Amino acid sequence: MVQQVQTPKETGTTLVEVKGLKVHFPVKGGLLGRTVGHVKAVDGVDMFIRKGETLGLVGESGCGKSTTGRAILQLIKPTSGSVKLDGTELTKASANEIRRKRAEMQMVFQDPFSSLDPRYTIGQIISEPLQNFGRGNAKEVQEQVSHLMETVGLNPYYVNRFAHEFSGGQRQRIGIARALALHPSFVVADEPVSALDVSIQAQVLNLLQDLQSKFGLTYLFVAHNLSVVKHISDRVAVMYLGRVVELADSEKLYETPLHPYTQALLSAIPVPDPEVELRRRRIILEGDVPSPVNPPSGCNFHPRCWKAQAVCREVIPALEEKQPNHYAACHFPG
Amino acid sequence: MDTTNRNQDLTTPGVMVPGNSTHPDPSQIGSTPPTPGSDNVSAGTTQKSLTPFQESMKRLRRDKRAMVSAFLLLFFVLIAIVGPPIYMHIGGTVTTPEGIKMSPAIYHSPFRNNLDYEDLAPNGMFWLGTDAVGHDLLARLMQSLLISLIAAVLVEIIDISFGITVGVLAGFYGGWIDQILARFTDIMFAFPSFLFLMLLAAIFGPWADTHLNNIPILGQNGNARLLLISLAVALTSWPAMARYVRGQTLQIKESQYIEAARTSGTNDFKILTRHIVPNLFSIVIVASTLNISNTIINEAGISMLGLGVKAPGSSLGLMISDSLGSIETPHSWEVLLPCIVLAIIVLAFSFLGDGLRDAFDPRSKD
Amino acid sequence: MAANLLEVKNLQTHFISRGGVVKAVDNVSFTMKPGETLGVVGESGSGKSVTALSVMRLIASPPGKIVGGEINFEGENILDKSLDELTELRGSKISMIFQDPMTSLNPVFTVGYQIAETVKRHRKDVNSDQAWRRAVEMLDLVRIPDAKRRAKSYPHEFSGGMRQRVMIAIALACNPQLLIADEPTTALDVTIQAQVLELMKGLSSEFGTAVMMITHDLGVVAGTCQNVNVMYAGHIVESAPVKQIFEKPAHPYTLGLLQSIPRMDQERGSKLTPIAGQPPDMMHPPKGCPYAARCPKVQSRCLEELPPLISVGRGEQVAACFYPN
Repeated sequence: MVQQVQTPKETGTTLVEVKGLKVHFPVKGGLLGRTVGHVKAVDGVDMFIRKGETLGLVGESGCGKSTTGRAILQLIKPTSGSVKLDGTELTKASANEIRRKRAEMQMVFQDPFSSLDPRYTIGQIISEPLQNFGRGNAKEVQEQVSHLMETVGLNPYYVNRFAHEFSGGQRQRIGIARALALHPSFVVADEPVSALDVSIQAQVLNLLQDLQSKFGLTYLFVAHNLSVVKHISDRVAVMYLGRVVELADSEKLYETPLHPYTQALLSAIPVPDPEVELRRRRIILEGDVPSPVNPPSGCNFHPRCWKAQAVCREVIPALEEKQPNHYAACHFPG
Repeated sequence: MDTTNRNQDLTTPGVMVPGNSTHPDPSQIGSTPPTPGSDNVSAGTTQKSLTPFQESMKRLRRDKRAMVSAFLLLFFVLIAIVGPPIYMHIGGTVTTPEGIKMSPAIYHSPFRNNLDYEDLAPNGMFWLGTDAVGHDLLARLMQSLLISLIAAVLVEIIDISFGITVGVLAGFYGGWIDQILARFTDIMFAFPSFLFLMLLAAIFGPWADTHLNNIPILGQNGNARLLLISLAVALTSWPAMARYVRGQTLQIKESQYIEAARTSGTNDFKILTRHIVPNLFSIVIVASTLNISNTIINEAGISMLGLGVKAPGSSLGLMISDSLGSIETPHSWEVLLPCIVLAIIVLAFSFLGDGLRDAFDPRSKD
Repeated sequence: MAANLLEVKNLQTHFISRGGVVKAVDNVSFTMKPGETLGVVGESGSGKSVTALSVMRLIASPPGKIVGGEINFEGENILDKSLDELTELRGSKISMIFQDPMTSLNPVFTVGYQIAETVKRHRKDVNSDQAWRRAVEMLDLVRIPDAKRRAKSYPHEFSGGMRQRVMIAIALACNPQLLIADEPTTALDVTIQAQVLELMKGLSSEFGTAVMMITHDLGVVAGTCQNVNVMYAGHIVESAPVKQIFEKPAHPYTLGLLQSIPRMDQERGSKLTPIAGQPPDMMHPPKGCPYAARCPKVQSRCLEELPPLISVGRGEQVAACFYPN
């Protein structure tokens, strides 16, 4: 397969454009089950993804990164905001239009165990999207399934086996084959390797990269592991409490993070090298991530930020291009 | 990272990690097809490997208690269906003291009493003896088993179809259908179901007695209320089934494979029929098995109180009430027989139900 | 050189099920000195957690059973101890923290009460007041803000990271000689992980507690441990001071692991080198070296013989490989 890793698409056209995306879940309470508040899981996300690139979306648990991925795919209905795929507005499309659009946008799931229906064989699982979209007769579908299995490194010999007979890494390959069945242009990969053992993770990451260069896929790679994200992404978006706080080319973001949260996050990641670890200075953040039901005013990172000023408590910083192609949402970046 | 496997690591490493036991090696997948003779060829392209259902059945077969119960129940079903037609041809024509000739079709009939043959111990003519009014106990027992079987089947048909439909819709869509189900089950649970049965039987029984008494098997020979009783039992039991199904549906709905199906462009109807209902199979089987013993007890109870199957018909409950007087006589056998059979059936269904639960959900055991 | 605090010799822990016997820990030997931080690294099913639970004698039986070997703690074999003696030992001289702090805390008691109870159970001379004061002191030590008030809170009122601190407070309340931490930060976010690791490092050096850190994350090991055992399929395949493990891994598995994980401090662009295949079926382990099927340096000898842990000629570094790097 192709060994060349994609270089950032500086001039590429935009495939996915997200503006002011919000997903609020109602919190029911009291005797009558009235809505007493909202979990602001995603609270105004702006980003764009260029054709053929991988955008990494990182953040800690509860920051809304998975919800963002699902809201882009319209698996969760956004509360407000706009999502455009190849120029088509998705948030206003009807259920039927969305279903037709699914051929172009697919997802790879986190859990290799619960993402495959235990009652069906691999062949049946991979052919489900093909049948939904009427891609050929029974024989043609079967041929496509065999071909897909080969593409993701599975022996088509096992087409009639059930998913539970395979290991986590192999099951993840099955899920990837299903996602590729309709030849999508855009794939959301939601923590695709975090449930796998370390030695298996690399196999799946390499596969994802190979497939990208082979089919010209565009990825939104959602993960909490920053080392993995750095490895696979052309650009990286960092989320904190429902908002994107920084968005830049992968190398740039890791070398010169502008947002204090990104700086703390990067410094917290352990590096598998005792020499490096000895020299590193960690920024230890105080306290925990606040609740998304009652996020802090202004910049929602200000209670944990060592640079916070009065303005941070009052004004929400916009995601702005602070350096060429380097966006940050901070009043005092750098 | 890797939270799913971590727990397994803590308890029984290797044993429960699905990636480790009989699975094809990935180095073989994708490169060379497995060579004949290795473990991996047990299932070929055309031959499917074990489905999860088959694996559960394999586990069930290892459960001795459940298997003994299953065979006992199968035996009861068999004698209920094929027993009577065979039994009515066994034995010669006999002449009563009054000089009337009787063929076995007459004296082995469950609906006749032979007043010349009262309180007989088991013998060559009446294999399990006769009761105080000369009923052939074996013939009555077989007829009673048939009634229990019919009631069980009728109730389960209604129970399962209603339970699945309402439960799935309530679990999948929520909203008003869920609210109605919740309120309805609350009412049913709050109201003693046997009392409800008695009420229904008392109110609608007389109507059934005159209108449903001509249906073959289900109405004739004192069975006029069988349909009524079955319907009433089903009415009290389906909300429980719907609740189980609803709970399971809620759980399945959260599975990533449902989300994956949606991502694949599968519509709601297909998601329900292809992904949700098939995965309810195990819980429905377990719940209905456990529910059958409840049905059989209820039918027997109502008939014992005289509100269900009536003479000349036969039911385990009716047999018990008919022979209650024998308990302090040397013929206590007459009342013990239906009691023991009823107890065996109920226990066997419970054991089988437990066995099924363990087989379908191995984790529930610990 | 100080005497060994912990000496595990030829430990064998097996799990017996209908399908057969799984040798989860197979002939594992290692030692720990007082105050030493030892990392035990491995993937799921490698036997790292079972090793730790064996030391605590917390293997659920059935299906688990320690079928052979010795575990000498301060010179006494833990495997010979009675249940009463074990209860005395656990929590006072050896304590353990787990991956999921919620399941280890009792939801119906306040955290202060739970710490105080541990203290009272092991220190007969301590009265309730003193135990409570100790609890508050411990919570303060693990940097829970407003410890005096928070001691009266219940576990569900704490966040994941806070709960893990409470667990550490309970574990260290009796000044144990050995703290076993089984994936203590796996369930936590990186910024919280950094807090907890920092805390553990500080406290263990302050109290002189030896720490056995069980993890799958090589980064955690690099930053917190002095020595490392790498486990694979129930065996220790390599054991060395942390610097050597990362600089000159002797066992091909260790090298494979290091090459297969992306590193944040490296240029991107290079492809990862994954380890081919997957771990062996523990029910039917291969005859020779358990790693042979995935090893790029495999020779015919590896398929026949199980390599012993031998010195690779670089100080304390040992590896179970016939052809070490």
